[in-house]
Amino acid sequence: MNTISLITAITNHFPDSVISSHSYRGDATIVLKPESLIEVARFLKKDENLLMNLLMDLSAVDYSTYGKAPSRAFFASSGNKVRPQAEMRDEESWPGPVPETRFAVVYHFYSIQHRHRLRVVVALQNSDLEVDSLTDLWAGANWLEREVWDMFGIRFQGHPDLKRILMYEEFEGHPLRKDYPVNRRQPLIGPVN
Amino acid sequence: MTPESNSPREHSENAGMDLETRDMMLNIGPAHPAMHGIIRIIANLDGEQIRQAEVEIGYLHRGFEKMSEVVDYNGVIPYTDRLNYVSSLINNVGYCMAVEKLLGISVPERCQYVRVIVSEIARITDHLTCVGATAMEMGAFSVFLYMIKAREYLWDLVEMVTGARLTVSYCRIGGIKADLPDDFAKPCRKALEETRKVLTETNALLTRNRIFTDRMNGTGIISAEDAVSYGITGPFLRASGVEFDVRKDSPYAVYDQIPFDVPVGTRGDNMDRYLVRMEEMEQSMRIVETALQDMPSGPVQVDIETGRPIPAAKMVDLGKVGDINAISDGIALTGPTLEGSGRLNSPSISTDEKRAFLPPKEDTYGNIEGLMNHFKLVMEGHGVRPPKGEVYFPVEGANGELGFYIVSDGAGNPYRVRVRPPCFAIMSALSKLLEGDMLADMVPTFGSVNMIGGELDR
Amino acid sequence: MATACSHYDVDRFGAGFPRFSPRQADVLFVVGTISHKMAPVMKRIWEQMAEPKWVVAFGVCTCTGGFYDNYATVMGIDTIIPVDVYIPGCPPRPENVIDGLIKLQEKIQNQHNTGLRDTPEPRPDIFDV
Repeated sequence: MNTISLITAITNHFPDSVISSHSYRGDATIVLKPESLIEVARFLKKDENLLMNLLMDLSAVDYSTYGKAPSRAFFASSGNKVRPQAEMRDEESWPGPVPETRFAVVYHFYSIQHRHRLRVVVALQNSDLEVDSLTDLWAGANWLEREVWDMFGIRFQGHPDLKRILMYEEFEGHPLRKDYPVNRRQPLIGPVN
Repeated sequence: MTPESNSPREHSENAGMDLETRDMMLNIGPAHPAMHGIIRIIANLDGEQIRQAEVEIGYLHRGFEKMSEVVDYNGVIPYTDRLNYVSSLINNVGYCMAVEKLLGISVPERCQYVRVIVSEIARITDHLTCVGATAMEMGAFSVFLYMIKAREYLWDLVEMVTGARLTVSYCRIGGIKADLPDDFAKPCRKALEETRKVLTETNALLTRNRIFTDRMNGTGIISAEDAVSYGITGPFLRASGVEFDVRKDSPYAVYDQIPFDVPVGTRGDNMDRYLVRMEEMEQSMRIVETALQDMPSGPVQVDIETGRPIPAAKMVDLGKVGDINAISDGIALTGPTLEGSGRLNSPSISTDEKRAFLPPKEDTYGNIEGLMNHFKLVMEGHGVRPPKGEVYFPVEGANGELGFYIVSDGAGNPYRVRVRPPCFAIMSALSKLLEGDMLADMVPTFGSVNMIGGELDR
Repeated sequence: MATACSHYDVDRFGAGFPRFSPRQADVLFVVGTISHKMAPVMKRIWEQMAEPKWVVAFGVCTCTGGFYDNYATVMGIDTIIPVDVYIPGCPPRPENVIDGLIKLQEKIQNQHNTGLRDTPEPRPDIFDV
């Protein structure tokens, strides 16, 4: 199925759950409400036309500093600003992260029979970092969700054993969040620097 | 191995009655001779049989994803080398193609052929290491030595092309660093011939060897549904009977124009994985040979009238004093580091997009436009600036689908780079693979998983 | 791995058979980046080795931490255990490894007869990390 029919198939079935959808650079993407994740996931796996039997990837993005990068360098002494014309122009623009949300949990699905891919984005507020776990449907979600918990601090309801996987248990904080500085170390032994 | 047994078995008075036994917990700790890479397995054993195994990873976590938010787009490439450090070229290609998809640019055809050739050579080295290490752990030390000998030939090839053996940083966004050397085809064919000899010898030594087959047949079985449910891809999945190869199903570069076969196993045990890997090496060699023949011709020929070779230092001096007419058509003769990346080669190795790829050195030092182009790409505050967006690009790594998910917010640094590591999914299934097998079966099973610590823990 | 095999062959220098048990080994080769999760394990292995023992830091990540200056990496294992020979490189070429091994052998030969060795130089404090 191509990206348009893929998106329409899901949007027709779940009109209330899908907040938005796009296919930037050819990747079919839908943005869901957090509550409806597990039903949509079940539909994706079982429906005949979709048959997404491979959960390729499960990760998260912290959008708290999105778009706040320092602006382009310009030469203050000359009084001229560097014209931003060197930026790549885009015919199709990306809608961007869902407004007012901090985290987005991103799922990539693939169907071996139909050979199509889908990306599902679930946007979360900072106050409510809980999402349903997909371990019943795909066994690979177990470790992937543990990693998201370890790196971002997003809880997964229904996960059998949510604990850290890449960092050690005594580590405090969640490293991949944007407010965790890169070189703040918490060594078990040895000096801090 | 430090065994920590809980209690001895209690013997019963009457022979023949059931003995009361307790499981023994064995900690196969992070430093272990038969484990490649750092991993900890806590196994509950009933005699010799593994009842339950818990796998603990993360001992090589180096924060790749956090580092990639700190450096700029081209600066992530050395970090990607060190992900799967045995086949680092495939990681390079994957990352660069993902960023090129985000930018919406395409590279010339010769560049794509070169990327395919080096990817396949990297895949062969990875499989050689995997099979060799598995054989060594089971006692066949000579096989390991032969495979490393073949790997040395291939690494000489890689060194000839890129300058380094293992961690190469060969690809750039919008192209590759330098073209293949002029005399590449001959050493390449020789290296592949030597590899074929080694593979024939290994086949003769192992495939019908009674000890080897007894240990590999029927151990570490995983069914196709379980493998798909765990998200396993690559030779591991193909050995269970599912035909899924990213090169065939979502082709990238020029894989759709090169004919090759994908071996698929039937039973999903260790023996099938070994056979799949051996056959994949043969197919990779076939791809390399076909690509060498079909590759479009290389650098533009030097026209004696207009293009004169000038030593590079002299060219820079002339450019500094402003004598541009003397050097405008010149071709710089540089040392080995810059060989293959000059003005002659740049149409074939890099994209036209000036906002992504550095200009050749003749332009950087020869005229002001090239200098400004170079400046804009290298100085802090400028650099490659993709549009805002997110993209996912999968390539076929040696262990399975290696995907890069990149989010950009228009700045010079990536906002988020996520690597989908193929062996992460396989390792998450390891506890299921080990259940029910004997303790000694853990060695070939773990060997055929081909866990690369750099990729698993990033 | 390549150093140990036929092309470069480290067996001719006497480093023939790696023994993975710490109790039987003389030299500890620390290869690859050491993360903070692995550091206590490495220290324990070093403590389990019997005197006289030497440590070789293999690769730039073990020497100084390399370019992984982040929350997860130990910036040089000499902050935890004393190191005798540093072999930089990422990864070090087999020739470098053999060179490092020869330097270690020379260092051992020049040691005091009682087996005591000079304390390794402390790390310079000029790096304010």
